[in-house]
Amino acid sequence: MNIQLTRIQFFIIIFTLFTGFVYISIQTPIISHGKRSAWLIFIASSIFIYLLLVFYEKTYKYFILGKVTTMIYHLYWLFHLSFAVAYSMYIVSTWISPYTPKIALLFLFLLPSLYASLSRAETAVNVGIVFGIFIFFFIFFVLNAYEDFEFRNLLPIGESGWKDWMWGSLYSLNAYRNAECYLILRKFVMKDEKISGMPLFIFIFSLFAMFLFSILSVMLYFSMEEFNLISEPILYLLHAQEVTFVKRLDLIFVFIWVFITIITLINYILVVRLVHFQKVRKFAKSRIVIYHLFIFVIAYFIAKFESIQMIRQYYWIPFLVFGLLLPILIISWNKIRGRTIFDSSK
Amino acid sequence: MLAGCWDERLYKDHTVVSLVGIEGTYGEMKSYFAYPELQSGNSEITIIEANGIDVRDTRLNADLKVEQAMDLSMMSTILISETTAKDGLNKYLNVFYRDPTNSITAFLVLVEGNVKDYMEASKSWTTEAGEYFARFIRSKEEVSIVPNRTIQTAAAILYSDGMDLVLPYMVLKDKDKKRPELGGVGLFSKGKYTGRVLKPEQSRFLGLLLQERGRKIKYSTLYNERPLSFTILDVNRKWKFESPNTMKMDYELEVELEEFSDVGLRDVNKISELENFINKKITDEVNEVIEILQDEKCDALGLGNFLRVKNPQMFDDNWHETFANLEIQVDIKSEILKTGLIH
Amino acid sequence: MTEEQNPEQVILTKLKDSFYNSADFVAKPISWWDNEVAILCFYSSIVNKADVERIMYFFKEHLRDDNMYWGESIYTSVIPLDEKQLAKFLCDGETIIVRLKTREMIRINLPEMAYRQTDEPASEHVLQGSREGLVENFDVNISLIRKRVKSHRLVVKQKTIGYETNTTVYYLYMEQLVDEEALQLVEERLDKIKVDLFYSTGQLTDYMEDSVWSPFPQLLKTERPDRIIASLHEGKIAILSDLSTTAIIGPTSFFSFYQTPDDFNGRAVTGSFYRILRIFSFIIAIFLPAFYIAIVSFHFEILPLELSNQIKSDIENIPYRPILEAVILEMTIELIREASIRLPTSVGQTIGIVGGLVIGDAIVSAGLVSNMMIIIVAFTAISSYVVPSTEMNSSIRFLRFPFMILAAFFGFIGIAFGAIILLIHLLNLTSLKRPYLTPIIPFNPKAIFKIFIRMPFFKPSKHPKSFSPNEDGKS
Repeated sequence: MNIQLTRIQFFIIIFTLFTGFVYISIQTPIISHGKRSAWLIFIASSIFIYLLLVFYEKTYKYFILGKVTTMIYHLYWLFHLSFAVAYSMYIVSTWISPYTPKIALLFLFLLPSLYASLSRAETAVNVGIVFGIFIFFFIFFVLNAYEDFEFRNLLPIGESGWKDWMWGSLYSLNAYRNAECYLILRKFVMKDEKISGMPLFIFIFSLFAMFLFSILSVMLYFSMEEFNLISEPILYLLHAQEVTFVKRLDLIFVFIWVFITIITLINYILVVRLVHFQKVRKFAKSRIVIYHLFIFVIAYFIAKFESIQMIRQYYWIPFLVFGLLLPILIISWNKIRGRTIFDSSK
Repeated sequence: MLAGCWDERLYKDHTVVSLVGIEGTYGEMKSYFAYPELQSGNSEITIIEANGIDVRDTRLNADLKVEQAMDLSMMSTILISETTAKDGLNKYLNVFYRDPTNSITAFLVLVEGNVKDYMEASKSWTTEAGEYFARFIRSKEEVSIVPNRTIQTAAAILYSDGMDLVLPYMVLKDKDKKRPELGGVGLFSKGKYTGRVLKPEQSRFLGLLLQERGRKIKYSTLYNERPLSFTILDVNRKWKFESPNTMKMDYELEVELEEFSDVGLRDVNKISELENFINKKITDEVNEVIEILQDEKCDALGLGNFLRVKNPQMFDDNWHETFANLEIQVDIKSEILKTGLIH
Repeated sequence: MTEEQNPEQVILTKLKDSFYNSADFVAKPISWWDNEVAILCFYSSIVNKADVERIMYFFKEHLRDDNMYWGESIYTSVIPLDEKQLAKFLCDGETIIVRLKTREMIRINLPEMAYRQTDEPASEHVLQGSREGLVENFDVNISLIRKRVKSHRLVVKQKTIGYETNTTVYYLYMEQLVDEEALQLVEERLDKIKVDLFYSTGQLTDYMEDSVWSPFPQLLKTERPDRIIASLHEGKIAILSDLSTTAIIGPTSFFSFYQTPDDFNGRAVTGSFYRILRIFSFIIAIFLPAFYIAIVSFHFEILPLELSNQIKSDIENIPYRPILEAVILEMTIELIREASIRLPTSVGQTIGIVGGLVIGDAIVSAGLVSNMMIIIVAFTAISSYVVPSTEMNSSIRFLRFPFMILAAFFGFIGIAFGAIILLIHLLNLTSLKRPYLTPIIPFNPKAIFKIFIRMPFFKPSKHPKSFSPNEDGKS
């Protein structure tokens, strides 16, 4: 399977992959660990990520997945996707549909993804466009809370100790946990599209601005102690908003968020397909169906408050292992051997 | 297909409660729910009373007395009795934070005496019971007499160490007990109601100190035995610490005259004379308010948050004691910008 | 003379037999030059007899076959006798004179088939601008188009379809501008049509479309020549037939169904406003009833208090679930619509009034349906009729039913599920292998702007790039 991406398409996919699953939940761990300087910690971590992606941009051609590494990534992705689905299901069932059985919700999440994954690759590539429309709604809704913002919540930054900084940055990095997708998708971008330099900076900056906006607005809105209670602050903030025509903005946002989750799922499975079907071409359709069945089963079993809470606690690990260490290992190993993706594809 | 689905909550089968009242403490809670009952186009307010151990329990018990399912998602006001508030507000509101179908945009109102009287009074109003209070609060908020606190914005303050809550306080004084009136604002300290109430004429200066955007403050007094009324249009404030124990608050007011039955203000010198009078008058009022706040250890101004930013080392768990002993100097400078249609 | 039959008599009988003695088939011997006998045959119903007579007279009096090209003129030609072709020519409305001596056929191509005068298309009204519409005739249609594009680059190709009906289908495109791949596809697909009877454009669309089972039309149907030429200039291909006034245009994007010539005849600002309004109407028409059902049966907490009391008092005593209520009303509206199309115009209006006012009023006072639902359904119906294209309009009206059912099952989540399936479907959809959702996909910010804003004429000097190939990734 092979696709050609334009620069915009590439960025939209990455944007969706980065923000899709984590956007409503990322703020709580960062703030509850980073305390009042959480926003500063996040800025620092984002600078690190920018440097990392600049590095990846220079060395992506050395990122070749061998048999073992492919296997590792496949296992990680399977778990990651199942967890994302389970978590989304959990959100939906706490916020709007408490009595709908898990199986029905799983079907609602996985059927569109299955449909899109069985369609042409262009569909999965382009589906992220809708994301853009929702961002405007989202920013507009959140800014509604402007009157209740308390700017003194952002200071003093000196209160956070080094432990707060460490954990805060680990969880901040988690916002960019899908960095390996950048490496994988990068080679599908058309040859004549320029990415390094300004375009990459603008892209990372917009991603960072989206995250920072959410972190700042919830920090301004809630007092620090509330973050120990609230796990989806963005939703909770919207829950507390009331505009003249709609009383519960969070319902609309959950509605939008279901949309976004499914789109992210579709994009993620596209990445999985790209890696998996690079050499294997047989039984493509039935393999995709089986993959969805796997997600279905795993998500069904971990969609419980206890397991989700536990997994979330350890979810700073994936970035370190799969987004940072493993790619750097692979890149340096191949650099020493002098192999690039351009040789291996021949 | 038409049997409905798991989460279906048919609107026609639900009773929408707009006003809730709670009183008592854990163990012997009492809740009241007011909802409109529709009878051939006219709606009549019905009140359900229920006992229980906690808020949710009273709600469950109340459900037994209604033919439809009770729903609190449209609730626009909660009335809280003084006894409940004195026990600490947060724990009683927990159920509202937790349940996604509950409204957390409802206004919180403290009431004097029996909550039941206020609930019963709602029967005689044409507007929806909860909406009546909500409108009441909103209109008084316009003139800065009460701050507007919903369940969520109150929670943000209750959970914050450096600021204390004040809530609108209603009293029922008239003979037939039909028209509740505003008794001022009730002061909280460390999340618990102190029992002290700022009268409306004082609470407006709390509004001034808090300087909420877009609010007006109206004030009337006697100037040389002639009536003088004015509106404060805008407030600029500057807080700073002079020394660890002294806080200086500078306020600049923009004033519009509303009533002033003197010969007129054609003479420019007279304006500054009047301004000085206003400065002094307001400074006195403000000092009185601050004194009360310090007496009750109620940091309604959020000085704690301010201190935390400027002098982090001074801020600790003992903040409320520090606040009570803080020396606060208020300096008011007013400027008459407009005098209405005549001089 | 003996009763022995002349050779021409033999042929005559044979001819008449082979045309099964059809009542309007005429075959008779005539005398040609120098007492030579020839046979004249034609279908009297489809031949312009007066003109044929004049041409025959001219031939007999003024021509001899010793000149080269003696028989060639605008209407006539001479070819060797071929019995198979003879039948075909006759069916096309030609008059044939068979010269027995030289075994030649003189073809006089002067058919006179019935067709209407050109008229304003009933389904595509405009407020200002051209009121000419296509008719069921090749020459008239092409002349309507050629008079708008006076360029030799406008190419007309034709093709015969249907073994029995022998219908002529022709496709038009602008050389050099046309999307070559799409053109090739059109030709391939036209070649593939193997049917006996060919009688409607609907048949043609079924053969031409990429996904027949999609609820969305992938080819634009129009009766307006100005619309055809506008599309041709965007590199599209138009397919017309003699049978119908409808032209099929492809490749089309979803948004072209929402444009009308009125946008361009009016002012730029107002044109843009109505364009945005129409796109908005699409969302309303599909989602509003579903949204309402989801609110009153799942998420009524979303309503502000004042509004909620109005709705509550309205639906308190309705015996049915909202979904059933909605289906009752939607069905009523569909029935009224269907009835008023089938009935003659004058009666149709009456039905509309009776249906709309009387049933609407009665159904509420009978307590079957709430007032709120009437407002919602009526609003939806009006929104769905805003679409300029009748085909898209019926697609949209059909689409809201699945959404209503999903909303009744799962509330907002159901709508989100449906919407994403719809989105994926739209993304999958192609029109002549070109993405249907251009310019949103592939993403082209400048072109998206043009969907909503009707640019002044001096601005869009370039042809929209929306259908240029290779913009989308290929798998």
